[in-house]
Amino acid sequence: MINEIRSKIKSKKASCVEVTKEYLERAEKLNPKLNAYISITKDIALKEAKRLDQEVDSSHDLDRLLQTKLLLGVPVGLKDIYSTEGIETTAASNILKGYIPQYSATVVRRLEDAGAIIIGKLNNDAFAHGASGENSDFGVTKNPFDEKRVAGGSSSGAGTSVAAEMSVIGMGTDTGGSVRNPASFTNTVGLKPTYGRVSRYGIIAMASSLDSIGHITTSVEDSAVVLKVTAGYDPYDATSSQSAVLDYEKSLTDSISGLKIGIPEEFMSSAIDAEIADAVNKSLKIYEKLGAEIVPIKLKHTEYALAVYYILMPSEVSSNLARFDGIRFGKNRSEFGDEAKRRIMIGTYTLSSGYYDAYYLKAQKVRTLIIEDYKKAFEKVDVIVGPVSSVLPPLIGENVNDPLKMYLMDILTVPANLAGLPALAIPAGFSKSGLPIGLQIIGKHFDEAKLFNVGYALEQELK
Amino acid sequence: MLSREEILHIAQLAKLELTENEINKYLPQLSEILKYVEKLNEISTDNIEPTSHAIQDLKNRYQDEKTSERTLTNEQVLKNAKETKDGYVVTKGVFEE
Repeated sequence: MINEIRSKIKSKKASCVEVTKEYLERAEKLNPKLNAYISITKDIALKEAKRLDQEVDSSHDLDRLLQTKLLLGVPVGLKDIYSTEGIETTAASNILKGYIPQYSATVVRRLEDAGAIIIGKLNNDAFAHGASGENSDFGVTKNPFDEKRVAGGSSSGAGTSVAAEMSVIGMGTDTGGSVRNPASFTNTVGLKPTYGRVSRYGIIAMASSLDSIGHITTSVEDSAVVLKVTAGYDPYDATSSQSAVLDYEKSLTDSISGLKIGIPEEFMSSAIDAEIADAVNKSLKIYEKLGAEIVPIKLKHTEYALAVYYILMPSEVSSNLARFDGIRFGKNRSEFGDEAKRRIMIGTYTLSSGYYDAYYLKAQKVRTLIIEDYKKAFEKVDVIVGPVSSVLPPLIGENVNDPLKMYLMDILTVPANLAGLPALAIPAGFSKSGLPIGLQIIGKHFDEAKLFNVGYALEQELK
Repeated sequence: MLSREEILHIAQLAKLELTENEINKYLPQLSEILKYVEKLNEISTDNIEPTSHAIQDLKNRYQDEKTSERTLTNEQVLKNAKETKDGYVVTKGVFEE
């Protein structure tokens, strides 16, 4: 999609304004039904598109302009936890209604510098707390494949907007699966980069040792282009990595013959929906046909990952949400929704005197064991694959009164966050009822290029 | 199982004022979640180091250049505050007279 837009602009078959208008019109038309956007920033988008068109028109070297602006004229939606200077940023929570950030997140600036056009702020579970989009104070985002079903979460609007072509790129965040889960529910490609690969500066923090800034696109190629723009060291985020940003597109078409793909038995237990397991097995067959070697592996602490996550994450949440005091910005703390309150309470408890060792410290130690599992596995294999989700997209309302059941939806995605590993969700087919199924590819630290390579190979075969 | 007193104590630590409805709703939910995470007690973690950061090769970094280019003005900082006075945020008194 991105390269299509780029070549249209290059050959002057379309202007930035025309591309922007096309997406804005679709977004405005579908949003009352799908609720992917909290706000559509039409005027700002058109103004920016016009400015870029002037740049294109006055450019003597359009090739060079397109090389420096990799996303020239590409419409993008931002999860509403990305701070945007002068544009209301709510985190999909009532507590931040009316909040106008005075600066933009580093990633937002990078997207703008690359010529991307921000067309709106996307819906999500409030403060990114959830796996279904139902925790938004602005209503649930619908799944374009079945509007009675959720679109996944917490980056619910990112999945739906990309799947329904209401944006080309949906920027999200992934703390325990929040990019991969909606991607798998909406037949899109979702990347959770390595921890520290993309700057977190200016994005409302959920759990600082787990938060990863990712994106949803319609293709693996687009995902690779976006990472090239968003990745890289940021002096404003001390945890951002200084390791080199690669030309991720280059390795897309590499042969995967001889590649070792690990399949953890813990990811394919009987708890996985049979149709999802089938789709994963079919993908493995394709990889074998392409010359890859499928290696059964064990990640024996997998069953403890969710418990580790649901101690460490709320602990960090309770600390990060302490800043919402209703004094410097935002409303008072009674405006937090149920899920934020639950997580603040759990985190406050697990960090409190007398319980810290039994919960928080214990979880940090088990986190070490989980990381060791992956280290050992990656001595034997190049990538690890499995399902993204153990279930097909649930019906809206199905799990809302059962927080623990909702938490269990994260069971296959949280390990990558705990270990800081990059992971890519790609479409792997549909259920008999027509619901999307996603495949997850997990790689070594900073080995996103390999994920794109392996993802692209399957994507081309399934076309 | 959490007690009602514990819930109220945690809420107080977290500066959350809970309604009676919320207390009744959260009590069983939080108890169930805590019971689930206690499954970690099944595994021994003797002599295991805790992890707080998953990318272990990162070293402490010290700022060698000023990053003042993106510093906010006083006016910007106060922009979202409910009440301000003389360039400061007005808040409730902490100490009583």
